[in-house]
Amino acid sequence: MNDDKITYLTDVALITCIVATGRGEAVIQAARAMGAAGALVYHARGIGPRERLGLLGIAIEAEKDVVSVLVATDHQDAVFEAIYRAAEFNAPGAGMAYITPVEKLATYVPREILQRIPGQGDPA
Amino acid sequence: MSAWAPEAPLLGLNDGGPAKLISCILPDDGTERRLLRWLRDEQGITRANSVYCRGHSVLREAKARRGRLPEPALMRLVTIVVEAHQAETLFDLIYERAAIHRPGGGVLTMTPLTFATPFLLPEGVANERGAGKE
Repeated sequence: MNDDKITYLTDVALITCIVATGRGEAVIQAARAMGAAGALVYHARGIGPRERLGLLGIAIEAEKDVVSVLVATDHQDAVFEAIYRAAEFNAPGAGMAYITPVEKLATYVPREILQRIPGQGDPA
Repeated sequence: MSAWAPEAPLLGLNDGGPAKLISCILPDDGTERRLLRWLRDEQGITRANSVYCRGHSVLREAKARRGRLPEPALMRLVTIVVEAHQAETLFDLIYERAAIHRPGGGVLTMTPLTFATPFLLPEGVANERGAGKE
C-alpha cells in the first residue's frame, strides 16, 4: 500500500488524432516541440469514402495511427494547432483530431516537483 | 445458434445512463492482466478493455537518431466504463492496484461519458483458460 496521498491533476485535455499510418511520428514531433510530455499511438483501420479521395482512389491509406496526447488546458490550443499543421488536416482525407476534457489525472509526480507546489510538499 | 439461452430479459437503451471512462496507460509488465482480473473478480466490472500501444515519453531515457523520435516503449491502454457514483472510489483503488504511484507506473485519467450502454455477460459460460482467479 502506498502511504502517499494521490496528487490529482486537473485542467488537462486529451488530444486525439487519427492519421494515416506513418504520419503519427510527425504529429508526435509537433506535439513534443510544443511541450507535450508524451504520446500514445495505436493502430486502427479506417473505412469511408476512400475510393472518392486521392489519386485513383489508392492514395488514402486504410491503416491508421491513432495518436493520443495529454496536455495542460492552457496549452491545448497551441498544441492542437501544431498538430493540425503537422498532420496537414486542411487536405481532404488527411485525418481528423478532437479534444476531450479530462476530469482528473493521476500519475507519479517526483517529490522535488511536489515540494514546489504549495500544500503538496508536506508529508502525508 | 448459440449454446446458451439468456433467461433475463434483453437490455434496452433505457438501462444505460451517464458514466465515467477511466483510462489507464500502463507498462507492458503484466499489470494490465492483473488489473483486469481484479476488476472482474473483486469489483464485478466487465466493461473493461485493453489494447497494445506504442508509448513515446519525454521523461523516459531512450536512444534516438538525430531528428528522429526515440524508440517507443510497448504500453497497454486499459479503458474502463464505470457507473458515475462509483467512479471516484474506483479511481483511487485502481491507482493503488496498478501501482501508478511508482516511477514509470503509467497514467490514470477519468473523463465523463454522457451515456454508456450496460454490458452483461451470459450466465453459465466458463472463463477461458488462464483467465480464472490466481
